[in-house]
Amino acid sequence: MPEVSLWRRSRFYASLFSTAVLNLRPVVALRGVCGPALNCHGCPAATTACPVGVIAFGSAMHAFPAMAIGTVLAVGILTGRLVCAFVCPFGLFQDLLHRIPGPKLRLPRWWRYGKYACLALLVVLLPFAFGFHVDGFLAIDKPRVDKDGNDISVVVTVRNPSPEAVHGVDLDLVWKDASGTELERLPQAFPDQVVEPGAELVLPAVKIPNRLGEADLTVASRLAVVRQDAGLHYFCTTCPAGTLEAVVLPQLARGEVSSAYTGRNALRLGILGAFIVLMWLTSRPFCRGFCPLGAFYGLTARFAVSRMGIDSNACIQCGACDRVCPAGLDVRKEVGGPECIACGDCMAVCSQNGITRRFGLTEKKPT
Amino acid sequence: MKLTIRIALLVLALGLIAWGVFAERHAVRPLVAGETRFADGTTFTFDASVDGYVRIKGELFDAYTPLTPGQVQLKDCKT
Repeated sequence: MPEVSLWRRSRFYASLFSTAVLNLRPVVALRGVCGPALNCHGCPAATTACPVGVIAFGSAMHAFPAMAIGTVLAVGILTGRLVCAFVCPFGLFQDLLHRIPGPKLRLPRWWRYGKYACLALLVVLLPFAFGFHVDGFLAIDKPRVDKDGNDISVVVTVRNPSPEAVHGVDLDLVWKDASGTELERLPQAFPDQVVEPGAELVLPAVKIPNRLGEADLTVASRLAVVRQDAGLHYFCTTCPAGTLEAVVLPQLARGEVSSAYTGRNALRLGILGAFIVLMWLTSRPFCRGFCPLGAFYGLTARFAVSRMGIDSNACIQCGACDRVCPAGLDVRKEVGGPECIACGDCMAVCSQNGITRRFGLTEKKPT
Repeated sequence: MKLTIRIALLVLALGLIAWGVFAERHAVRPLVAGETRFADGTTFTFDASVDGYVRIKGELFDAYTPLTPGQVQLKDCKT
């Protein structure tokens, strides 16, 4: 068996390699397939899609994402929670933070059940039940233009394909030159107009100076954009891995420090901050208590083709395995179970070679 | 028993992936007039974000549908 520090180092390099491979979008873009680990596809560098994001989105859309579920089931049944230890970028982040010296705490046993609640509620049931809130939006038809002396009269028709009524219509009539450069923007407000869902409305004519000889007219509106709010019942809204990978790191990479951290963004950052403190104090708190993907892989772990096992007869009850377990398990009872991330640290430290990694479909006893 | 479950789950996983690649189809309509398209497993995965699709009255709509007439070429207007 390798020495535990050597084993941990190789696990660290494996995680580092996986993190690099999962964030290669500038080189390889595979957004159409799910990666095996939690890695937010909102991140500009993400190579693949996040399976949790795809499944939660499928729930919200009432669409069954067969490929995403098949992928995580295949990974789970082949490897159990091995991905958590060797592939997950957020797992690596947690391991690194926990290495910072300081006081260390043990998590209570009930902490582990949180991830199953996250999977059931925030990824499947609540997104399915409540979906997304869609703000009212408008489709704008090509305007009718009539000459009116030196001016032109513009009549715009709007339609509301959204499920919400739109109260008050704002338009921008924009003059652009042949190269598309904006020459003049003329905001128009119709605060009293109401467009019910499915309705069409002809707005009052607007008279503007005629620049047709030199420019083209474009109609724009902030209402001609679909805006959806996923809400706090949607896992990705508050996922600390997503906040780190899709908000904080891209901003740092661009050299920006946004001051717009209010409301929802402040909450997201607060959750990430709380987890960062917890990651320093205790080992893998997100993995163990909140990761829905970890919960899913945990459910498959007992049936995984690659799984950890212990030979109870070889065990001398020294407790060395418990001391190195990053998941804080009672290794002798829980190795290979749903909470075990199959990192192999216990295997490396066992002086009796009593803990083994088994591969295969059948239940062969370790020799 | 575990062997049976293990094989059943493996077959289920491979079946779901095969379904996703070859048979997964989600009808996606444009928000304004136009033809319904069908998103397969990879397209659905690619579009799976809050600004990808909108569900209205049980149907999926393409949230990327252009909702403005774009550049309105009115230079030829002789009225």
